[in-house]
Amino acid sequence: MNNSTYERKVDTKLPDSKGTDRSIISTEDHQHKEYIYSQIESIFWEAKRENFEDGMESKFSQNLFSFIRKYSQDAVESITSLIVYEKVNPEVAGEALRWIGRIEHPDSYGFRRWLLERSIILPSAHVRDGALLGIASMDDKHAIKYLKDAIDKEECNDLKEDMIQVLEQLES
Amino acid sequence: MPLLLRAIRKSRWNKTTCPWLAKDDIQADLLRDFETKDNTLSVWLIQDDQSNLNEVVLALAINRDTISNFDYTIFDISLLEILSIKLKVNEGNTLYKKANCWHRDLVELTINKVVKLAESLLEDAEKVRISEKKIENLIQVAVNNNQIDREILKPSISKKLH
Repeated sequence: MNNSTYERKVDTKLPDSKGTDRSIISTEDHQHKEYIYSQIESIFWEAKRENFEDGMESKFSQNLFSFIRKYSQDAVESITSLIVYEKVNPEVAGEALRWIGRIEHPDSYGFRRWLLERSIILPSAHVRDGALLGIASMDDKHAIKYLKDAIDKEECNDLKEDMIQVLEQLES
Repeated sequence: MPLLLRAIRKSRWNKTTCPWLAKDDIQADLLRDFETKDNTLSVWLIQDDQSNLNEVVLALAINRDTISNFDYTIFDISLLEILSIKLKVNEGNTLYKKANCWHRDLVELTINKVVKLAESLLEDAEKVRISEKKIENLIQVAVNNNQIDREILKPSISKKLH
């Protein structure tokens, strides 16, 4: 991975639980994060060959779970970079977001919710749908304001209806 | 007139995922929801009053690895006659035995027939999403009513129930 790719990655400004600036990192950290980034990039790349089905685990979802459990917020940071900067296949990104809302991993919960709330307005409808399903899985009222913004912006009627359905769920 | 249900992934049917697509064309990824085996495609018979719809959805939902949203398309059985597609009664193999009698296969399919079916469903058929939360409730109610035995459920599904 070249430096420019990594600079874009830290620009995603993922919130740090300790309030520190995550763009200021040591060389050792930098290498570690580059390693994590290249690992997750491979996982996403391989997933292009899979045919995903709703509710069915896949090699990709299993790899994603293992990766998040192992690297926690650093994993989510790398995943954020791949998704937000549209570096991966949109259907794979959407699939990732579905499972990101479902994984039981309290340490990364806030970071995963943050990613879902921002992905709901990304350009790809596959990605927005995946983020929506991830938000529905989390069932966290925190996402309501992001979902309302997304509904206002959504141009695809089908997806807008699905968003309203999830909003009703969160508000109930 | 009875209906037929086919489980789909709704986002694949969304033409806005492909801004490059010509107005009268269909995105190829849609065919992933028409993956045939031995030239057959699995569908479920839904009574015309849709009285067995929830039971079919329940059967398909508990066969999955985890509780998830359930997307499907539903269409009038008469479409098969228009497209010259044969229907065969083949009992299903879900954990909810009662629903298995409603399983059907579309048989002797050709590429042309599959594409015509996809075109017809994309244009005219209803595409529905049942949320993960509603599916969870559906399973929970079925367990509470002894409609299904909790013991037969996969642990990943059972652990989410009360």
